[in-house]
Amino acid sequence: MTIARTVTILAVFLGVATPIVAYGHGGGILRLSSKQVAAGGKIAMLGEKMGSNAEFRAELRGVLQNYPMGTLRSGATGTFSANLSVPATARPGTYTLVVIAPDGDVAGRAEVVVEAAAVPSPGGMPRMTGHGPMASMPDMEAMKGMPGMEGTAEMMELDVSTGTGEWIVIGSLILASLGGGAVLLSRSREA
Amino acid sequence: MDYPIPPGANRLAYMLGGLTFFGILLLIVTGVVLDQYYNPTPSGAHDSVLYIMTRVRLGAWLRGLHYWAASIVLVTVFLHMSFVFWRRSYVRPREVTWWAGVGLFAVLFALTFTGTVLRADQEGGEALGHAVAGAKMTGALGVLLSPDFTPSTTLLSRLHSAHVSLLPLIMLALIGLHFWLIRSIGINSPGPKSSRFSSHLPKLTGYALLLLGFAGTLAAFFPPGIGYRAVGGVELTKPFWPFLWIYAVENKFGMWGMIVAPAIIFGFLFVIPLIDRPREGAPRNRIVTWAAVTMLVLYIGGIIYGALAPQQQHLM
Repeated sequence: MTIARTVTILAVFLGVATPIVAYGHGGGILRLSSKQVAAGGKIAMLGEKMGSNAEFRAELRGVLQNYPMGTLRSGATGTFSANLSVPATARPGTYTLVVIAPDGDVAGRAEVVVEAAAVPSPGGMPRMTGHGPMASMPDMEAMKGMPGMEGTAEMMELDVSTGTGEWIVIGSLILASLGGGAVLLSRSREA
Repeated sequence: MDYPIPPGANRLAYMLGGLTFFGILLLIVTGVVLDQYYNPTPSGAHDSVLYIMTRVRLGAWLRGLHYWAASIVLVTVFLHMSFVFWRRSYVRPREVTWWAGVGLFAVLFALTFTGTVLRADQEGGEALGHAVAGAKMTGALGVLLSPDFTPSTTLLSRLHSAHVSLLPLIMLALIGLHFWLIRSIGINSPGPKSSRFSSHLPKLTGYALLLLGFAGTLAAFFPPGIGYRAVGGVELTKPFWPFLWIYAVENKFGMWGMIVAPAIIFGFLFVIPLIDRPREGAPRNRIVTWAAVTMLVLYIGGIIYGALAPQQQHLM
């Protein structure tokens, strides 16, 4: 990463774009070029007040899945900058972009919303305001043909497998409830 | 807590209200836990429910417990109201007790509705769409259910707030009134007050624990699913079972049925003590009896019809 490129990116952030500032755990700051990005798109990131001359891992953390975003190296001043590619398979939703220090601690974090990849329509970009009260849903006409975007009454198939420890807790609670109830009722009858 | 009660009040039929209360406590406890993980924003709500189901320890079971407890509470409150009606425990001096109960019944339905919306899946989205459409039809009365009420937050966030704070507060106030009146006026059960409430409680707790075990078993072996993220502008699902009767009315009479039918039912429930004011020993007012039977048949029939009827579009 050349000095000129770094200065250019800094100028863009400070002079043109509205920087999204997040103060990370431990004092590191992450600035993003935008707080919204389409799946498969790119987002510029600037890190400040990170450890100097250190290697960091960037990760996009979602509710259901995390995506590794590569490694970054800070300079002597503890800054770094990068253009990160958001995986095209990332589900729309709110994510936290974190930068992890060599010791495993999160050095900085920033929130970013990943939107569905836009489908080109004859007039250009599709309208992003949808019908009904679930605002910000993509326009239905523009989204036709995209898998899963027509709406379905089907239930999702999820991996909700319960571990052995959880079954023990659940079983114990159920048995305790049923047993306790039976004991109280039998004592009430005796009384 | 050790006040005298008739011994007949120790029968299960007289404990349906108490069982409903225990079910509500279970809903509050599981709801508080679930709400620690829930994201009340349109972009994050559905994913947060998926997170609860797949990545929170015991999350799927707790969610199932919350879901089945809601269904069980609606059944017990319905049985409780039916028994109270059959016993005519709404006549003077218990009118206000009855009205507090009707209010609680309405709040429980509102909580069930908002809880469905919070899932933010297709069924939740359509439920919200129906509510917004109904709010538009009622003009100023429906302003709180309008997405345009305020630009500072979303309708989903406001309904979440209603579900976790406003409605529970109203419910607890009505429960307090309901309990205080029962305690003050006394329970409507025959016989001298030769038993004590302290003997009522262990038996009630016993039944409540059995109900908890039952709900826990249902949650473990019949966990509720979740649909895909809501897509607006289409109607593909049917509502949660307590609202299937409204679905049936909409099928027959259109969207106005969604407003008129509940208004008729809750209005009737409210006026029962005003219509049936018997002198001592006099039989129940026949209008009240037949109206109640008719509504009961229509209610249950509506649920069955709604479940079996083909999918229809109501939102234009």
